[in-house]
Amino acid sequence: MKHTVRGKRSKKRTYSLSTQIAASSGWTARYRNLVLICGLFLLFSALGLFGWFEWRRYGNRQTVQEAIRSAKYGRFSDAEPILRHALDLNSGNVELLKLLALGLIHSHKLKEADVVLSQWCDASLTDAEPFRLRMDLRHNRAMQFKPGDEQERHKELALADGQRVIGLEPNDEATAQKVVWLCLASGRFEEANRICRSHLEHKPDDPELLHLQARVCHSVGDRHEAMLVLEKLLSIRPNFAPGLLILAILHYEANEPDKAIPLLRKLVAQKDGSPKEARYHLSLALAKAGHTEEAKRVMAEVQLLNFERDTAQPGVKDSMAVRVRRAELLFGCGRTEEAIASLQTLLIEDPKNFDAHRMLAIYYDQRGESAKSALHRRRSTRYEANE
Amino acid sequence: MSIRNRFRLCLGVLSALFGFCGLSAIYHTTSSSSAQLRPAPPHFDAPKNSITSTQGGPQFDDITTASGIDFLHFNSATPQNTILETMGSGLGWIDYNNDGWLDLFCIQDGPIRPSPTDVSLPTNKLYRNNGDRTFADVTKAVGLDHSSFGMGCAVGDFDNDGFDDLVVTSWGGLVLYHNERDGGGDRHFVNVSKTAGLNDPHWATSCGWSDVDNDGDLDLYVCNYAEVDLANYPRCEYGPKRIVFSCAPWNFASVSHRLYRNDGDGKFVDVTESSGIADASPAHGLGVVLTDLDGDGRIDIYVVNDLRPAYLFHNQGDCKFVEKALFCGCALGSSGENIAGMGVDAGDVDESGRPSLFVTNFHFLQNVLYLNAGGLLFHYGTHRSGLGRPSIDRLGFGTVFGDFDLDGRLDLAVANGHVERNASEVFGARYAQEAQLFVGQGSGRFRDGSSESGDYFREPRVGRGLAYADFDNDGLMDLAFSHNGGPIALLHNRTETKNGWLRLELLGDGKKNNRNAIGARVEIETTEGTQVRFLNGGGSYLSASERRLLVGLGPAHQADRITVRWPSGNEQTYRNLEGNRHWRLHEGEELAVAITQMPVRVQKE
Repeated sequence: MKHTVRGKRSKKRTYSLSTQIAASSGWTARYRNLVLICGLFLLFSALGLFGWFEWRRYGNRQTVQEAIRSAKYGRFSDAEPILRHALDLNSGNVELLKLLALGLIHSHKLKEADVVLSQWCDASLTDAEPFRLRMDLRHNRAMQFKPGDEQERHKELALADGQRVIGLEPNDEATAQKVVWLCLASGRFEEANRICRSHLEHKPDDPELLHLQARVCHSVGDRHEAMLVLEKLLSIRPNFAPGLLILAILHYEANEPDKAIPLLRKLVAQKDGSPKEARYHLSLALAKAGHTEEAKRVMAEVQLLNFERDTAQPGVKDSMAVRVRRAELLFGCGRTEEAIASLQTLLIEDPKNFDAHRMLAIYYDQRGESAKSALHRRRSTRYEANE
Repeated sequence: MSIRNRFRLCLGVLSALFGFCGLSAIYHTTSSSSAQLRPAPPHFDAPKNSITSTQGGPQFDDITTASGIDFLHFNSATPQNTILETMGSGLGWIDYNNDGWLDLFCIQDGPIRPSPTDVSLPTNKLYRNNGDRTFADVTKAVGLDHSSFGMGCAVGDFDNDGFDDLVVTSWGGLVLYHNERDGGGDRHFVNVSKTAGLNDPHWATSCGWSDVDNDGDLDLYVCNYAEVDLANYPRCEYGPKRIVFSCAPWNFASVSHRLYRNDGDGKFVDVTESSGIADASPAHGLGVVLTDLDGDGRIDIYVVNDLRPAYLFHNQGDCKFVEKALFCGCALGSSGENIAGMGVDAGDVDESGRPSLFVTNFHFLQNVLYLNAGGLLFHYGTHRSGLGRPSIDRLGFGTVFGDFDLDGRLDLAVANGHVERNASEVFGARYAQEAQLFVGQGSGRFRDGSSESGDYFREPRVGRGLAYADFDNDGLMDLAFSHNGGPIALLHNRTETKNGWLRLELLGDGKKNNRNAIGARVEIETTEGTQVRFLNGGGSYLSASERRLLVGLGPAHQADRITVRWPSGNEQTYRNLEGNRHWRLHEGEELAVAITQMPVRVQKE
């Protein structure tokens, strides 16, 4: 059999098939070993690379183990760099993130802890724990800011974390209560109401939940429901101050000051809860019940508390105006001697202070000392006109 | 061994080595019990906000530039950063020429220490309404081109001559301008303060007209803020950088506010002492509204003070007042805390037929709604109203109730802006803040509709004054905002609605009742129910809104019955007033007069 091959170099050369096979066998024999070795080389190289990567992973795990050990059994200050190094190698390792976050929280490095907690939250979206921790952290951070945009922002972030926690773990009562508080503080009454109701289904006698529910009901004007909830709450804990306060306010609003007054007196005497708030409502109830003088005195005490708080703010000097107002409130609280002494000192420094004269005029007028009263009133009018 | 064989051997050894390493590594790693990484988490759906707004609301366009109003509030900032620089100024709507088109008066500040050589100080301005949504500056022509450190104004016809007069407050007193005929048949204003006996040398802020002694003419209440001595101004610094900021009002003495009784002969008598106004402890007054709060037919005066309890001067008759706010529950916050009252308005927000009170407050303190429970008692209604939370990060100033979408329920607008230009450093807050618009839902509840009400409500500004008027007479209430150190913003209400409306222009007889009918109570009955509107004196912050009542009828097409209780106590009833019309109600005349068309001053092609 002949086979004709056409080509540039040998136009009419012919080869027998046997010659072709022989040539082919020679090529195979020459390169067979080389191909085999190359194949083996590639195979073992791949195996080697795989092994090398696994070895690295193993090394990382060893680092993680070491970091975990040092974090669990050593000092956090020593463990922190190791944990951070291990995290560099295993950025999504939840256990490392948790240990680092907890360590940072306990070391009061709250800003750094927030970053690590956020990484943990990102790494375990279905786990409530990091969100719970971050909610507490952010709420604590919010409280560290003075009232301002940053504080509000952190409260909002805390609330969002809390919402996620109760989305993931609907039976987490403690977090639910915190979320309700945050909702109340930010005016989200519908949400607070929903959460309270849902948790009260499981724990119908929980005093704190009942208190929150009563607060929500009162805030949204649902008086009837608030009364029912409070009735239950106070049957469980009769001296629960926040509950008593809401009940007293409800009585006041229902034109029942005589029912409100004993409750509020009790709260003012207890001095727990919100004594200023209790005083304020006591004053309103006393006035409504016709006890005008006592109402005025209690209201003056409330105003003095406001005054002390407000004048402690930055930018308030111990000016004449501030001192006059303090004296005025002292008069109101029945601390007459203090007030008189304060005004007399003030008038030595500023004899033309019309406000101080006005106040003394009122004081002497009330005491029936009309001459003195008239003198101070004249001075007050004259100095005010000259102002 | 040949080179080729050596190469082969090396490859083989390397392969074996790699293979061994690989296998041993696999063995080690698979046999070790290291911590396992968690599997990738499934996708987590964040809980969706259940509160979604699908309702339409009022829509406003800022048409300031197109309207030709070019007023720019003077920036009086100094390195001393005094409290004076930050409080002003307001604006007022006044139809000074009785053409039926509301004109806009803008109040100007000036330098705190004007130089004697400075002859071109900025002045207040009056913009005449051309009737085509444009305005013309007529300040000089009407004689209002005066400079002062201006604050607020009130509009009222104090002499019952049928033309509105103007009182302007400033740091250093107040000026009463009488609206008079000029030589050319137009109107102009004449300063009559001296002859009228008005003299308040203090820092006067908001003021309001009403007939507090029921004698048929308008009396004037003026708030005084603080006594500031620039020569001895305290230096208030904050933080390690010692940032100078405007000191809190506590540092400054305050004087009694003023009540001037109108004796009807063009003269006023200062009745501050005799009326009992001076018996209240002086406080830093910023906002005032005059309305009958307990329905006894006498006008009471509600005043908000900066970080001091508000006043409620309960009218005892014979021009005597007793201050009762603390025990009426409308002086302090829900826990008895002070509020920094800036602006105020009164309106029936809960369909009780009584005027409730809304007070704007400082940053991080909620604005306050006091629901009128009757019997001169107020209940704290901020929480239930939905007005509290959105105000936490705002410092509110001017505020007005108005039915902006004509659904028959009062809505609410609020101007916001911090008092401190270094607010971010000192208070952790923003100096410029967005205004807000709350849509009334009935029963004293509101929803924040700011984000959907127009661009203006998304732009941070240093808002101060705020007043409403239907300046283009299209049956929708428009708004004007003033800004500290900035231009006026004129917002045209372009809400698309099929709701009906009525414009009610009340005219007292000018004898028993003041001609402006300030103090009147109007009950409007339609097939949808009954609304009550009050024609109050004062309101907002340093500003004056129009007096004509624009009442939304909702889907109703007419008012079946309108009952007007005039300030004197007389009642008059009108029946079947057709909707979408302007009605003039003259006291004593049996029939209401429909005003079909306002005269058009300038016809545009």
